[in-house]
Amino acid sequence: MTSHLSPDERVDALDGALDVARQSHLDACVVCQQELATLRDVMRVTAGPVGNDVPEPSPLFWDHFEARVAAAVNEVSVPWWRGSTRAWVTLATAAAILFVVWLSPLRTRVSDVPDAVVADAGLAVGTIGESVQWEFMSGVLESLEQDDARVVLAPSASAVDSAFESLSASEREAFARLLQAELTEGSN
Amino acid sequence: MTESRVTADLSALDDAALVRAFLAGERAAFDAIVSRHQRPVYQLCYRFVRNHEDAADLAQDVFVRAFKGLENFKGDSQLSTWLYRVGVNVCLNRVAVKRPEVEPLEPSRHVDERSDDPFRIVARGEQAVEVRKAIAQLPPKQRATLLLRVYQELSHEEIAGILGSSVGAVKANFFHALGNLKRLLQS
Repeated sequence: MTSHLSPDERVDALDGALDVARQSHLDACVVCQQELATLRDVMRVTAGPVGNDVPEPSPLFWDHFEARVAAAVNEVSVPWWRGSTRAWVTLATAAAILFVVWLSPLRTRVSDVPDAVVADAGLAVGTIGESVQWEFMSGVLESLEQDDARVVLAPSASAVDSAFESLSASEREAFARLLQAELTEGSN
Repeated sequence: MTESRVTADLSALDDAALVRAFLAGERAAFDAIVSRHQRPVYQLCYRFVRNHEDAADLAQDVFVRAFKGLENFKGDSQLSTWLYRVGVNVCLNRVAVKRPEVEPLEPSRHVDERSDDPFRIVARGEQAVEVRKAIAQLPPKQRATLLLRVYQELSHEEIAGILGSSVGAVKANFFHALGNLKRLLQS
């Protein structure tokens, strides 16, 4: 004689999913049949309409509930990275501004470089001034797309090298002098 | 695009697309999720606490937690299953600190009173209260398993996912829940 149905198997039998081999035991075993009949009775009482009752709230409740939830989640602080696309663009723009401001000392201090040096480089003091920088800034702000901003935020490792390579010989020479002037001033 | 047009467009999306839209910053997608799932979530909560006010509070809590934690939804189950998981946790926490109040004796609102005699209606109402009282006395996991299996009609596998248990444990809990109900109803 095989063993009686385990709890798992009795649940399977309730669901009509009992293994064929065990079903043949159930068909022949009065004890297991009685156990199962009792479980079915409890299920019937529990699952019947009297036990399954959830009163339907007022039809107005659902609209009210949606508004309640909306108000509650509005008080929840949203993680900064889960903001709208606009927030990403704003963040990228701010980063671009910081990037340009970070570069600006090299440009604003052109006036500090001796005139002779500037003249040698073919540059005139004043041609790169505040107005040029802000013109550049406003241009960036107007034309900045999200994808562009991401490029600005994540420049490739070779970007600086490429930029340097694109300079002409005289521009490289001027750059070296400006850099030297900066270093000299920084050490004083 | 008007707000109503956006809402209409979002309501046409499936759950996975709504979750993606929400995580991409489309706040209205969450409203669509609430609108779609509020009824089953409320019903689940009601079955735990058996009164409207607490059920509404719990259901709201479920959605607030979902709002905060939706980035943790991996999409390897239905959104409804994930919401049930949140809901069961919220409800189990609640019933752990507060015993449910069983509503006063009254006939079920879903009984068609025209087709039954008054004595049977009262008897059914009494039986309903007894069943609910018995369910309320079950240990939390057995209670959750029974509610999800019998009333929410979820599979053992889905319940296992919600409760973080094995299928075998869910079946064992269900079996013991029925056994305990039998004992409680007989007493």
